[in-house]
Amino acid sequence: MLVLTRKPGQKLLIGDDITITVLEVKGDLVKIGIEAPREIPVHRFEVYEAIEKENQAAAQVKKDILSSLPGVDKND
Amino acid sequence: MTKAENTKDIKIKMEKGLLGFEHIHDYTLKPIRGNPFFFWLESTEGPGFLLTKPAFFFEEYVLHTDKESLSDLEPSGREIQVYTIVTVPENTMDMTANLLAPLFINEDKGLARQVVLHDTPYTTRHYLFPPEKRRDCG
Repeated sequence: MLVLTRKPGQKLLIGDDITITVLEVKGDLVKIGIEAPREIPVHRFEVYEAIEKENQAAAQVKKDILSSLPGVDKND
Repeated sequence: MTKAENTKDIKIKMEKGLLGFEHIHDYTLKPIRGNPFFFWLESTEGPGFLLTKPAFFFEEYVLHTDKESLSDLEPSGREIQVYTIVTVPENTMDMTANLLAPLFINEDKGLARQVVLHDTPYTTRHYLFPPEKRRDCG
């Protein structure tokens, strides 16, 4: 991992078009500004992880479920 | 079924894949016969997903997305449809919807992407049938 030290107001450039700015450091919180093209998704890592995990949980569903879903009265 | 919407299979290209399934790009969105509330999203390469539309179960669901950020889905006149992935645990009635990362599908063009909402109160798990609203059916 590349490790760089920055002060509030200082920036980093990743590639040609992603700029990371350290906006504020307050106690153990760091406020970061990110400028990136719209097609580059930016997520808090734990949010990304949670969604990945949920997708994997959702993928466990068996197709059999389709015949027993709520919303259909099978007894008619 | 009274409404004639979405009654046939639709081939879906998901260029970025679903998070955790980035390698899978080709899906088929299938309606479920006799049940207009759910849909089946199938990939030829592996997993299938149960989908619903948030509007069916979460009337107050509000999304703030600007058209610009959906440009890869090539929105034209017709609105892009919002779906949500359903997780089904052992007890089917405990099924939950991922409202944090809905699926935006351009049904006309067969393009889709999972969108992660920013600054939202929603999470990956919302009961479709909240326990406090369930009646004991015996």
